[in-house]
Amino acid sequence: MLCVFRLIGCLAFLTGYLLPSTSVFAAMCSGNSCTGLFADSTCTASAGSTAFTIYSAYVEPRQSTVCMAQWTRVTNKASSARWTAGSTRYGGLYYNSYHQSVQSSGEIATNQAVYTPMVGNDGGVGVISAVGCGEVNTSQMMLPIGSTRPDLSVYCSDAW
Amino acid sequence: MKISLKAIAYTLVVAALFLVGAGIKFTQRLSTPTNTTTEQRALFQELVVQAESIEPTVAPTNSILPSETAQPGDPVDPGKDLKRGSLLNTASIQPFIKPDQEQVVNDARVSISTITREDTRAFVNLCMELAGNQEKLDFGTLYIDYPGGRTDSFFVHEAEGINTNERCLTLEFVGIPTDTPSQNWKLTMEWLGFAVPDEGTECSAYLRRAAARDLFKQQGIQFTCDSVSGQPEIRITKKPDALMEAQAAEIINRTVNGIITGPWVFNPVLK
Repeated sequence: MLCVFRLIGCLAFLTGYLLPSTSVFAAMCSGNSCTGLFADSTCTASAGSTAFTIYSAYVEPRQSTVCMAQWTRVTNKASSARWTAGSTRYGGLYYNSYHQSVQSSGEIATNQAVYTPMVGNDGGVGVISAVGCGEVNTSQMMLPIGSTRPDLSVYCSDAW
Repeated sequence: MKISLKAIAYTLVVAALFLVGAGIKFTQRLSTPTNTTTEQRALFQELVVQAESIEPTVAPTNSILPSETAQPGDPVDPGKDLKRGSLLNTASIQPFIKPDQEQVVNDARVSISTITREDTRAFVNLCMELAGNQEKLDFGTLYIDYPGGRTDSFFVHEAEGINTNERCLTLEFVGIPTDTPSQNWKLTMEWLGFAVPDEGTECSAYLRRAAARDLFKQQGIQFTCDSVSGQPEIRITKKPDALMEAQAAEIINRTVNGIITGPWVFNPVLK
């Protein structure tokens, strides 16, 4: 009888250890470790600063308090396929020191989006001020979006 | 049936062992981030030190006065006007203006409110509804034509709708000269579609939407979807022989993005 219980105990321990943890309990990353990664559903995204549309690019600053990170989503709102690119700019006097950027590998369909890798910080969302930038075009664009002065660029959001 | 204390004790021990095993696994997952680089983390620490001592030089203004250099009759650059930031919080617009014009095209109902003008901005509430639809809707190509120009640049604010199935937005169009006459305006939306799925849920949303529209049954098209570098990548696995790859891709795109062709064209009332 004792042997049976010992065997059950071992099996129970192994079962608990080997069962995969659900994503409900653990975000993919947290803070600094999120920088450079693409957010997944465990980050539970929400809106950052005010979204806007400029020349058919719908630019949405995004953030996650779960992953403690910020990024930018850019949707092609033109009536036909377009190259679509986005940058999350941060650091320096004009947010032009660093960036996390993405561009579609070709023209993407109308109403499709790209999103930049994350910018994370162990102190939480908004500790590092960033601006979200986006653009759509009929040809490939140079990165980062927002040129040398993202603080003044029409393609970039307010800081958040 | 008598249950001995010994049996109860052993049962509790077994349960505890299970929880310990699960707890260890959980802790390991929390403390082991994936796909990180030491270099990036070091770069970011340096960045935090820099950022703490720097103030940005440009702060958006919420002033409702016309921009400093604009004179009546001057054209307004929409991009530069956009950089002034949203003026919604200081505008006299009501939190929600009930839409008073509506149109139905291809079963999609779009309604708009009276347009409120203030400064170089035009505020309008726009609502979208699609009969029998469960997906969140989003605007498409959208612009206002006014005497002397057009603006397709705007801030987007979520708004409350009256009906539970509709999605409403307050749109703040920018770059409209302050002396623009308030007659003969036209608001056009060329198409609307489903909202972009939240990050990491694109593939499940695409497959769900294709199933809801019976893509395989109706069109004979099947596809797989994988997340590659954060973007959903669609691969066609089945299509009718008569259909070219590009045509099948277009059908898939329109289905998973919920594209409904309009246009919805309004002659709005201004105040």
